[in-house]
Formats: sequence, structure tokens, C-alpha cells
Amino acid sequence: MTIQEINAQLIEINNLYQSGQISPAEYKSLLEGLEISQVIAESAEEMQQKEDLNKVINHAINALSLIA
Amino acid sequence: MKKLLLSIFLTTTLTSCALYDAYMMAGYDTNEYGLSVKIQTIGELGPKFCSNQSTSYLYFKDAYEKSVELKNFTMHIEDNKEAHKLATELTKLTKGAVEMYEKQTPVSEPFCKLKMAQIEKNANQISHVLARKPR
Repeated sequence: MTIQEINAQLIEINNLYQSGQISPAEYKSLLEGLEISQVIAESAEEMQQKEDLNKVINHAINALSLIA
Repeated sequence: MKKLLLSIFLTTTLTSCALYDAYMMAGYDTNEYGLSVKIQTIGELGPKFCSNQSTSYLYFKDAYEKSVELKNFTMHIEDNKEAHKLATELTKLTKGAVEMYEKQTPVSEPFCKLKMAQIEKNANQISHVLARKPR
């Protein structure tokens, strides 16, 4: 989930809880889900950056191996 | 005789090349990606069944079982810590949904829909990075 999606869901969850449409246990579980979503978003971004960097380095090595 | 040997050589070599190509065509781990997409699909289709407690419970249980499978699959592969971490977090998320059905009856429809959305969006993000991770 993106940070914007997490924010939007947080507002929705708070509204549902305040209007009594979800129980306290459900509210807690959904908030925990948002916490997990934040960890996934950060880890996925980090992994993506690592892969992108790896790709750039490999391209550079391949290009150099053609010359050298 | 020479022609026969040549044709046998070419046939076996070309077949091997085709198999190698088919395997290497996807530069990513297709098993990891496949499991992640299955979980994403459950999250996408699941909300339709949120009015039915037993069906929605089965959907969450299926998502949980598949995320445990993904977690276990990613565990022993070399240089795969990040993918394993993502799968572990997804397992926590799906487990939370299953536990809610086991301790509270009935589970509300808004909870079911929002939890399915969390599963779908997170699995989608994981599928996105797994499809770009070289084997």
C-alpha cells in the first residue's frame, strides 16, 4: 500500500469505528494491518532501489567488458 | 550415417535450447511471483463475498495458507532476505484476519472489505517487486 492509501484507509477506519460500524477488536486488527502495510511499503521500496542499483552496476560492467 | 548423426545432434541440441530458453525467459522467480499474485487475486475477488461469513472466512483462510507457503518458499533461497521479510509481513496480515473470524462471530462486513483491501494492495506491491527481482 502506498502512504496515501494507508492515510485514506486510516481515515475510513476511524470513521467506521466512531460510527459504531466496527467493533473495538476489529478496529485494533485493522490498525495493526496498517502498521504491517507501512513495513511492507518501506521494505518493498528498499528492495526496488537495491534491484535498480544492481541493474545499473551490471549494465556498466557489461558495457566495460565489451571495451576492456 | 553422417546425415543421421547430424540430424540427431541438431534435434537434441535444439530441444535443449528451447527448454533452456523457456526456463530463462522469465528473469524472476515465477513460483514466488505466482503465489503472490494468487494472494492478490483473493484480495481482489474476496470483497464480493463479505456478506457471507463462511465464504469470506474460507477466502481469508486461503490467503493465509498461501502466504505461509510464500514465506516458507522464500526462506531458504540464497540472497532472498528481503523477499522473505515481505512474505513474513503478509503472513501476519492474513493471520490477523483469520484470527478475527475465530474469536468474533459475526465479523462485520466493513471489516471484511477493508481487510481484503489491505491484503490485495499489499500483495500487489509485493508482486510488483518480485517481478523485477532477478533469480
